[in-house]
Amino acid sequence: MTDRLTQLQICLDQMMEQFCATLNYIDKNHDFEPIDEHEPKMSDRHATVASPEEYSNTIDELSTDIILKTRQINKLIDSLPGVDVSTEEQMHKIDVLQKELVKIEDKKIAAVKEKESLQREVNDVINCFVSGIAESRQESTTEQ
Amino acid sequence: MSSETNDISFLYPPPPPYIKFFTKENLDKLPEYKEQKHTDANADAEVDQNGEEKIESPMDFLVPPPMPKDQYRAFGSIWQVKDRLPDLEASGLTQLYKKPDENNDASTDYQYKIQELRRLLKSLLLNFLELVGVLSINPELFPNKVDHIRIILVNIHHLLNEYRPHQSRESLIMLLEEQLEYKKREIQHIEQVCQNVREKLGRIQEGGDGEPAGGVDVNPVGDETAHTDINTNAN
Repeated sequence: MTDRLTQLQICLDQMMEQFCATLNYIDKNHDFEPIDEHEPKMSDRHATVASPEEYSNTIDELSTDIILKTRQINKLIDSLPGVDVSTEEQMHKIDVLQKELVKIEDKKIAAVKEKESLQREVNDVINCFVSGIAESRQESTTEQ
Repeated sequence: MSSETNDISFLYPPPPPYIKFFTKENLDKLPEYKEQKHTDANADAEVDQNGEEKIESPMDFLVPPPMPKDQYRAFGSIWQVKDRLPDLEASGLTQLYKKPDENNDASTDYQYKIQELRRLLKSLLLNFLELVGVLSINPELFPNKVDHIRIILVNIHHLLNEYRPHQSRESLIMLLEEQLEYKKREIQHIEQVCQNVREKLGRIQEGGDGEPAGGVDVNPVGDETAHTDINTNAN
């Protein structure tokens, strides 16, 4: 996932594309209107005139899209991280976290050491068992 | 060389021409030359302050040039030594939002930026609406409006880019917190395993004490002194 700022910038680009698409649609699909009643209605062979209903529906759709995109952008602006935190506060927090991280690393090393010593202990116990079993076997064979 | 044939245009560029001055002989003479140069430089120190490199003899090529102060060239473009965002005014555009005051608190600064961002977004929509209006009434007047939209957009992007350092710091904080959390979990896990093992050892000890029979002498289990005994035996 990209960060919020990049998302915002992508959204802006998308909004521009929507602007273009809207204008493009109007340009390509609009109907013609005579200036006064005596003039014949103009027509263009290259233009694909959409029916009035379809036209207004599409315009509706396109504008709704733009509004939705605006809402999305607004929401992204709302969720920009750390709006109410100053740079100094951030730096302070980073400093504290860094020190804490060093401390916890020490703690971890201690824990690992403890684990290792415990491992050795277990090892000893196993060795003890094994040698105990071997001895008793020897004893039992010599007894026989 | 790249212009000769296309085939070799993507090879490494040749070494800089002054490489042939780096001979053994010259390198031997270098310390002496540097000393002499140093005394010379003291004489006319003012000239050197420009930071410009003066090439008087081939030996000068052997002395590394001074550090670039504010910009340098690499891969065909000029880079700033200190990373900073160029001003909008500097790139010839109108800045639509106020510059942050030096005496202003930094925290209000970012909130102000957010506010401005919202305002710019509204202006952007309005300008688009106006553009559509202009196109329907007098299409020839469009360049002006398009330019407005462009300026607003550049301003928004600039604002966002100004916000970037803030966001990176925020991400760093999040990363550190995550790492702390991870390490805490790790430690907890290790301790839990240790606890388990210790419990089991304890149980074995109890069992060993309870029934030393079975022909096997397991008495020393858990007994520290016996441990070391066996250990040394084993070794």
